[in-house]
Amino acid sequence: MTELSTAEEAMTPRASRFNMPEWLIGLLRHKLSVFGLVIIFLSVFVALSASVISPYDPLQQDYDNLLNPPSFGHPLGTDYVGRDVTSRLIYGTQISLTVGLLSVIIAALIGVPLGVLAAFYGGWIDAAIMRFIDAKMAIPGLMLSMLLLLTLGGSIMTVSFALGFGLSSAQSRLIRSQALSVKEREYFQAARAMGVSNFKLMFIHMLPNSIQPVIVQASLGVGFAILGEAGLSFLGLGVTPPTPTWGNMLSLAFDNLRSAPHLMYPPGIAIVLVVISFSFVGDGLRDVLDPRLRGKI
Amino acid sequence: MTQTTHQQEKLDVASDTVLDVRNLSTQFRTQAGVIKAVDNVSFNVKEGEVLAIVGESGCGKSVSALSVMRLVPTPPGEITDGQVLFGGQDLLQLRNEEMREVRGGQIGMIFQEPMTSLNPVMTIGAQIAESLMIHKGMSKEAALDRAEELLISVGVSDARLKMDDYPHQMSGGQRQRVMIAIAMSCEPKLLIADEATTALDVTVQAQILELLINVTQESRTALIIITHNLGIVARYANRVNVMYAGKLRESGSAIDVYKKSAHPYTVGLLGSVPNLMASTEGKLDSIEGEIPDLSNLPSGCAFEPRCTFAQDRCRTEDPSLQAVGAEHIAACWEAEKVQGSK
Repeated sequence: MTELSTAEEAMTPRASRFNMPEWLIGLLRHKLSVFGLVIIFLSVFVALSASVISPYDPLQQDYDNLLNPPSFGHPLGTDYVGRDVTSRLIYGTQISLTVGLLSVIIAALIGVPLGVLAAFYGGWIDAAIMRFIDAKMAIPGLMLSMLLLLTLGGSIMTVSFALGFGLSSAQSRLIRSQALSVKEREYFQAARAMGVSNFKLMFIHMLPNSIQPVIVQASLGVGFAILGEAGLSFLGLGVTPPTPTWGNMLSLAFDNLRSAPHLMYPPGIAIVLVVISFSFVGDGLRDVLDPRLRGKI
Repeated sequence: MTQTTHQQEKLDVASDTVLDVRNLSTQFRTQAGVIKAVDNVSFNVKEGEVLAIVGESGCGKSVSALSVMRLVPTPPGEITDGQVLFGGQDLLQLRNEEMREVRGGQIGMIFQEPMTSLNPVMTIGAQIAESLMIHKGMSKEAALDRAEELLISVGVSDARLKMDDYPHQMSGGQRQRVMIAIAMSCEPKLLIADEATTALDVTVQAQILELLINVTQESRTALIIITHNLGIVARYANRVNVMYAGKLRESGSAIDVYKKSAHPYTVGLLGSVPNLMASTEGKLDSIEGEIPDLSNLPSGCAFEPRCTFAQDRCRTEDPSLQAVGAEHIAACWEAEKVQGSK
């Protein structure tokens, strides 16, 4: 996305320590990221104020208005039991964003410590952790999530865990490779020579210096998790109905594709927009945080 | 090593000796074979003394220092033999937790690259304070206050402001001052400076060296300077150890080593230092050839292939360290001839 940077942007003075951090300024110059950020903030706002802005109760059924097309009363129409699609979309935002963020947090909580441990200790500990991750990666992600959900049952927590567990392998590998290079840096040696304890070496010296690619990966991961949740819900394994999620709305739309094709657009477009937004922001973060590109954006 | 011999040898250490390294050997197991990076090296440093360890790259200087700190990466490295007596105990026998107390607390170390030896994501103040909090048990506030004093003492201007700076906002010389502040923060008995001035430009080198000497002399801290630049050493070191291919080849007072060099390698090193007074005609002397493959050393003296004094004997027998003067030792069969040639 560096092509978007122009000469006039390069002329802008460097951030001083009293202003916004440099990476944020860089991100705001990245036009697609700004688009992504706007969509993300908008959906977060929608999710937080769902109970205020949604016109109906998302679970309230109305058998006089089944599969209605969009109208003044129901801007996005109603589904096969007469529930208002607008309200369901708004409440679905809550679930989708929560699952997206929670999965990434869980992925980081599992993946990052494992990667740091592997890099720091090396030897058989490294081999054991990495072979475990290799084995896990040999199982297709969706199958692993399905297996977990079949045993655990579908709720926000279990879906997030299933998706986060799948995402954690990439985080481990990423942070391990970074941490291995940090391990060879002189400041790490110097910290050792200062008598810093292993725990602090790992989590104060190694981790903050290896975290950047993980942050990028995480922002891309949110989109991936939202997509994953939709996929699982579509297969009937996601958050249990009647709780509205974008995934199970899509699934219901698919069931009524012939009689009410308008039902697939709201959840479909929402998923595409939000997933793309997280990708844009992740892309922007990568450009901004990559030292090789620093100063060129 | 049994406990009794350990105890006996402890008593032999003179009271003002800070560090006494005996028969230290460190090896690296690589695919090419076992590399004896440090081979049976002994030396000691006294309180307030400045010891220089000199030699080309790859001769074992840095590995000696890392062995003393027990920071040799294991595997592939391994300290196979010897003792490192410090403060009445053998550092090689300590448990890891005890060794951690020694590192930074009693022995400070400064590394070669000032540009990379500070953690890029921590402020200067936090990095100095970290050491104080670990070894002195200070509270964060007390440690930060002390850190500021230390910054002032190593000659950093605007110490108050610099405390909140990140390393990338400072110059190389300033960063090396910060490194000195960190290394000296816990009033160590010994400071090891591993090529601490090599990466700096010449004027800054002199300032940093002066600073190192000043801060260590003030507190009678022993200082080990590891360098390949004999010019640096000449002025400041009390004693000089010359290493080659993992072994100590010559050791003596700075004056003896310079004026009465007894090892051809020392002569070569001195000859390769640019000298303003020398004629500008001709080229700078250099030592022909390169350091031998440490995994496959020749049977005799390791320096023999490059030596202008070499005899038949040198090809088969490796000379041991012999006295060539008062407190002056060298490992060369032709030491007298070498000294006579100067």
